[in-house]
Amino acid sequence: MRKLALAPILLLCLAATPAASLSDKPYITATDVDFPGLLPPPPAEASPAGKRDLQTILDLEKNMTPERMAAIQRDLDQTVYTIAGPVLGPKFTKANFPLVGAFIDKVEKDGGVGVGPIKQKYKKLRPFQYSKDVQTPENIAKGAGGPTYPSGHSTSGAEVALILGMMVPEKREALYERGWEFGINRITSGAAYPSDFEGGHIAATLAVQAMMKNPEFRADFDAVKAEVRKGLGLS
Amino acid sequence: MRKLYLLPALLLCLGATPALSLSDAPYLAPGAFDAVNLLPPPPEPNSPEQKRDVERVLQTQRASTPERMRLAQADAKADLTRFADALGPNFVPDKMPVVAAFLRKVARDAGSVVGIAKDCWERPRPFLADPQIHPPGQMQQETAIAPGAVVQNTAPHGPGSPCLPAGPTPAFSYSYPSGHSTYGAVTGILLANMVPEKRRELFARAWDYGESRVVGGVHFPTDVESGRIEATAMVALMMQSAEFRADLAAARVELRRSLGLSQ
Repeated sequence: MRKLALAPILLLCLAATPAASLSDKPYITATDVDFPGLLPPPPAEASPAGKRDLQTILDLEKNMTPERMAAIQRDLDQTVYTIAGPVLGPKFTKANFPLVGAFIDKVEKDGGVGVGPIKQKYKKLRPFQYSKDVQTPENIAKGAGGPTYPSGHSTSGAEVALILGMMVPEKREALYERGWEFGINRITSGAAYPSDFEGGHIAATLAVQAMMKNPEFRADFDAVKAEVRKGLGLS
Repeated sequence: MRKLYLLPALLLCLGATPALSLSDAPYLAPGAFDAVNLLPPPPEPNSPEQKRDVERVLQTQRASTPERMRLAQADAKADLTRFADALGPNFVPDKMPVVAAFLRKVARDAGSVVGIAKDCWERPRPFLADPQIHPPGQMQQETAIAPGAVVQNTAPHGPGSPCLPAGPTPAFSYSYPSGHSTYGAVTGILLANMVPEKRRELFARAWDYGESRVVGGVHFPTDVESGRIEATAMVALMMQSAEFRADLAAARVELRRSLGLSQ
């Protein structure tokens, strides 16, 4: 009897709590979007656009400060908490918001069907591998093993801005500024070109646009949005 | 009997000739691309991002040679002939009616989406944001809206929309995102789809065409970058339309034949 009496309360709790698990199917597959046909080829290093790309990195490095370098090191972590934390506040942690972390990880992983093959298609060297003038901290150079185009960091920064910008429109501008800064920090560290940054933004937009047509993505999006808004005390 | 003999020849001709009539339906319905949610908002007035954008226009203008500025002025024309350098002397748009009509229709559909995005954010042109920015007179004049004209704001406004309230018709069309950059990128992506042999040259031209707007001082770099994002996302959507794919295939046949390339 005691167990039966608890059942309605238990059901009530379940209804009020967003689903704690995400779809186990991918939100997009390689056939949904022609990423290789739609993304521009990266400029060759010796072309005018390629030279401008390198010069931008050198100009950014000239203005390097210890604070900027500390921010760059912090931004090596590609999770939603590091990307959106400065905008959503110190409570925006994995412990308090577990679902959004798993969701963005899944978006980044499934969106990898776009970025991954393009990196292998062009196999472009990182700026610090191409030019001795580029100063990249050793730990960042070691961690940036794969080809440079398009930038995975810029893709993640844009995916977080796109998705959280729709969930928390009150902070949309700040989320985009931060998402874009996340990619700019990668350029300033000498681990990506501005054209990698732009390619990452295009790849992220194509991926999120296609995901939004997937009902499973939309169901998970709604559950995550509920977690985020409730946790931030927003209606 | 004579007529029957001709039939196979006629069919052969039909097979080799692309259909001259394109689909009547739009490739992309207005609003099909969710510009308001998928494009980053432009920098706000007086923000560090806005200052960086202004600085980048000034730097680009200072670094531009007279020759580069002349290219920017020539690129003010949104026209297929701007891609002739990438495709060679056999690329004569006047002699390619299907290609020209197809890409005109794509540009028209894309243009209505750009209009919605411009009306959402209502960003003033660089030369209005900073008096140090001077476009060549003709380029600035081309962005002017006739005095007294009333242009309907097409963006979604009101609760839940990130768009600004609709303002009065401005003296110059809005800056963000860049319509020319969108046109250049959409056209470049589709020409490269038809002529993959020239993919690198076509994308380089399309991207340089967008850069011309910054050289001219009529757009910010962020206007141009968002125009490219928008262009790419719109082509991805158009590719899902069977009518679009059929018309693209017809245009490809005509373009490759005109350029002397294998089908």
